[in-house]
Amino acid sequence: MQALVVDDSGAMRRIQQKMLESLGWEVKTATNGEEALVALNGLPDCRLMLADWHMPVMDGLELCRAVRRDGRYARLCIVMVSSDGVIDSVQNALAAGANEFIIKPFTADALVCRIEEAMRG
Amino acid sequence: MASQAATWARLRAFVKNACGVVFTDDQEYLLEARLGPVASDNKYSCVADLVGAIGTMPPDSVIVRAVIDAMTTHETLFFRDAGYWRTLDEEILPKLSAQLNRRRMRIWSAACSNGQEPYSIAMLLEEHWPDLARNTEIIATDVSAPAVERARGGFYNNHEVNRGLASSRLLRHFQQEPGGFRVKQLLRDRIQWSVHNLLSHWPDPYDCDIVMCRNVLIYFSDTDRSTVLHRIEAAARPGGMIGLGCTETSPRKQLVPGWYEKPGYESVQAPAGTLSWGPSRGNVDR
Ligand SMILES: C[S@@+](CC[C@H](N)C(=O)[O-])C[C@H]1O[C@@H](n2cnc3c(N)ncnc32)[C@H](O)[C@@H]1O
Repeated sequence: MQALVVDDSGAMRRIQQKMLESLGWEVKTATNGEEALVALNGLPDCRLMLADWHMPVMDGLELCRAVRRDGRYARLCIVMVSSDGVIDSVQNALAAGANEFIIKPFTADALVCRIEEAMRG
Repeated sequence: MASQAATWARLRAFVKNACGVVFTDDQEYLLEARLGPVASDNKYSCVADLVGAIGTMPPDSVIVRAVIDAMTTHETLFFRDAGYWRTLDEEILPKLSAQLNRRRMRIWSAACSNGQEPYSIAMLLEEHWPDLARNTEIIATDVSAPAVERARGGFYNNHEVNRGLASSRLLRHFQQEPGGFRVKQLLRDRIQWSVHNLLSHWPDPYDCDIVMCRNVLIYFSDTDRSTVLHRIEAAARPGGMIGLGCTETSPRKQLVPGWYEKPGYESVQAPAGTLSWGPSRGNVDR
């Protein structure tokens, strides 16, 4: 299954890519929301997106909203990644269309939990 | 001064006697790793001095409690093993709640660690079984007094909420605090906490509709394991459900991984001889 990792930090992209690959995902990456939208266009079977909240050009929140406006991505599960572990951020992320929220830094097993929740729908 | 090996042997005997947890020879590294901090917090110059001292201390002293806490593994997470909780929600609660007949429901989480398991019960009930939630007694116990205190506080850091807790549940049942999140008062008030040792003569809860005893038997010897299996079954009412960890073997046939029924409710009778452990309750002198 295909997944997209969207993060402006190269280190974070690599960590998340490794974690997902070890779980059997085929991973593509993008460095901001706009790039992610372009990438998604070419990934009709993508089932999972990990989107960082704070990114230049287009942030994770705007990306979520844009994805949710587009009927083609109805099956895409979104996990919002952010270092602000505050209730308001979680609320805003879910309101923007994210399925789940994970607080940075996180371990692979925590990511597995969040993905399972997101995919459960 | 006692050799490292002698100290390790002494500590192992102490911990086995105190709570049943056994270690292997090759876990000697745990001596320093786990007790080093307890020794320095309590101003002992080395772990050997600490281990030498605990033998004569009362079991409820702060230092003994800290040693037991350090030597037990508290690894846990919210809604550990999703399928186990789905079975509880979709099959067990419908059946058991129909048998209640105006009684209150009683659920015992028998090795609750830092509280994620009993809070998962409370969240699930509040979400899907709100009437039942108000009529359920949740009893949560653990041998480690510091673990019970952490659990009672209901405070979890970012890492702990990242694990197992759906974001919607975080929003619904927790409030923000510096450095993490605290379970809301409503749910905290639904759980009765106490320190309890599955291998001592302390009285157990009784007439429980559900007993969860998950991921703790693995640390015990065979004898202690069967003693505890008898005890938790005795704590359940006939027809009550017992939930072990999903990979643990049970004395009776499991309906789904982890869950089995205590026979005796109406027509449900186990034929004699189905027990794989002896019928008499083993007594442990502690
Ligand atoms: C790995 S945790 C399991 C927590 C939870 N039940 C779960 O499955 O996630 C094991 C717990 O068993 C507790 N424990 C160990 N020996 C015990 C005993 N004799 N009586 C009660 N609890 C005990 C430990 O303190 C620890 O918190």
